[in-house]
Amino acid sequence: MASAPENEKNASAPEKKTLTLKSMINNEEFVVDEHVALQSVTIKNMVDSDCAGDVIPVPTISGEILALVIEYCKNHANPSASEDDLKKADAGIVAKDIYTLIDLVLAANFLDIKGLLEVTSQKIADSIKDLPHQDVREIFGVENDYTPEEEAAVRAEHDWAFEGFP
Amino acid sequence: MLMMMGLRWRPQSRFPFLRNLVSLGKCLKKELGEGGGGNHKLLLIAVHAVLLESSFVAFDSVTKMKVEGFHLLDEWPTSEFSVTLWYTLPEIINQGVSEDGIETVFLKFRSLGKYVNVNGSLARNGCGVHRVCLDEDRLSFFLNIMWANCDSIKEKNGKGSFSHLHPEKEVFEFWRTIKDSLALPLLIDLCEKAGLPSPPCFMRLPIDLKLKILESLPGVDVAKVGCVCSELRYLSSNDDLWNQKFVEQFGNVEGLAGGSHSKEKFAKSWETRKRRRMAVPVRLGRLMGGPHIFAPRIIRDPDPLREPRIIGGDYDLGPAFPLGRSVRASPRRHVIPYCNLGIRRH
Repeated sequence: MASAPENEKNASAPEKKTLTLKSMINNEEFVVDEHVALQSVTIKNMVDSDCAGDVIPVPTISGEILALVIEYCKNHANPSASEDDLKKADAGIVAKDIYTLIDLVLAANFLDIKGLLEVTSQKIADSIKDLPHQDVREIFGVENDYTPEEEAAVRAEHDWAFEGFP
Repeated sequence: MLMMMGLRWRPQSRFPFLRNLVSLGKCLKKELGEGGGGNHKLLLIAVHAVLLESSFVAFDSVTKMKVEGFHLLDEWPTSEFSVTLWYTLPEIINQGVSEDGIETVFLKFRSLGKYVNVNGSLARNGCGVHRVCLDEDRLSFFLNIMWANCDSIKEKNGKGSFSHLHPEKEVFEFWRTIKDSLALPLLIDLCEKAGLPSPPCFMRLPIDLKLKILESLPGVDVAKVGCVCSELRYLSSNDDLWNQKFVEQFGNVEGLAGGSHSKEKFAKSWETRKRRRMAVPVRLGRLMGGPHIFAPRIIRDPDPLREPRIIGGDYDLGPAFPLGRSVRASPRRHVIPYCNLGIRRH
């Protein structure tokens, strides 16, 4: 992948630098290789500007979600992974329910990991594809704020998109 | 991500926030008209409108009661000021008052020259403070233009004499800032504190991410999403988004001249294509430009030793002859790695 790791210079190099990421929601800690964690632009900026201590607190992201993020970063930091492998692995990571996906997209956005943001938003989009708007409302938990007249008017305006829907 | 700088919205898709703001403004007309400090008032009311839209209700910290109607303050600030407003959620009031009283959040406005800082936090044990800084002069200028436009021309196309200034874009940016940096985080904090389920999943996303997800949908689904609620209708009516969808769907920009009303243009091309598909015999379809209703079909360069295999659509039904082979089987054909038959035009 794009981020060619430079950690392979010497297999017997002193020791790999690691970082500890700590979810501030449930205090779970994850020890990860630095080059894995640096795929997050947010963490990279912290490390570059020397404001990262031994433990990097990650606010608003639960341990469960952080584990998924780290899995993604590990896969993509592996120089020997083929594109097909990565695609498969990505598909596995985002094969989750909508609540997890929403948390994951927020985490990808917060940590600024472009690839993860892309696959997660695509997956969320796919989950409402080809569905009528009533289903979208239910899946997304959105309240209908139209009056019946307004809704009928909007529906009529978009009639062309509803072929095959009642 | 969509480039926010170039956002263009269809004028007739009314911005729900502005609609709320205008109706709130009407109710507050008397208060707005009195005394000085008009800009402070406008700014406070605009922030207040975003909070109400995000399902908060105003709360009186002294009487411990929900503020009924639109009364906001007994005394409106004039020059330098510092004002605090409290909010809670209807669900929390319905739960009844517990021993510790009602969980609330507050917004603290403080003016600093032409800027106003707004800090928001849980009223009790608020660990996180959410903060925005607003340029009062600039904001009130644009809010006033939008307000005047909305009030006077109603459903007309919203083109005021200041349309070259893109006031709607400015007001959208304001709305986005307040919504994403204050209202949503406060809502999430307050729900968590009061033990309420967190806000509906999709609506927790900041506007940028909502737009990003809309970008990942095919055009026909973006249109359906517009029927979900007024906010999504507004977000899904962006001209740049529809330009992108048009190119994805139809593979060219010929039908897009002008760059505005892209959704209508998309709908028109969609209908035309549908009619063509139904009316024109499939065999002739190719001569008329060929229907490729979904993404342009990409067919890999066939093995030159075998008949090219062309799958789907009119090519399946076309002559069994290798299509275009005589044209393309030149000595240099190996430099054409893909032949995108889907967008060939005759």
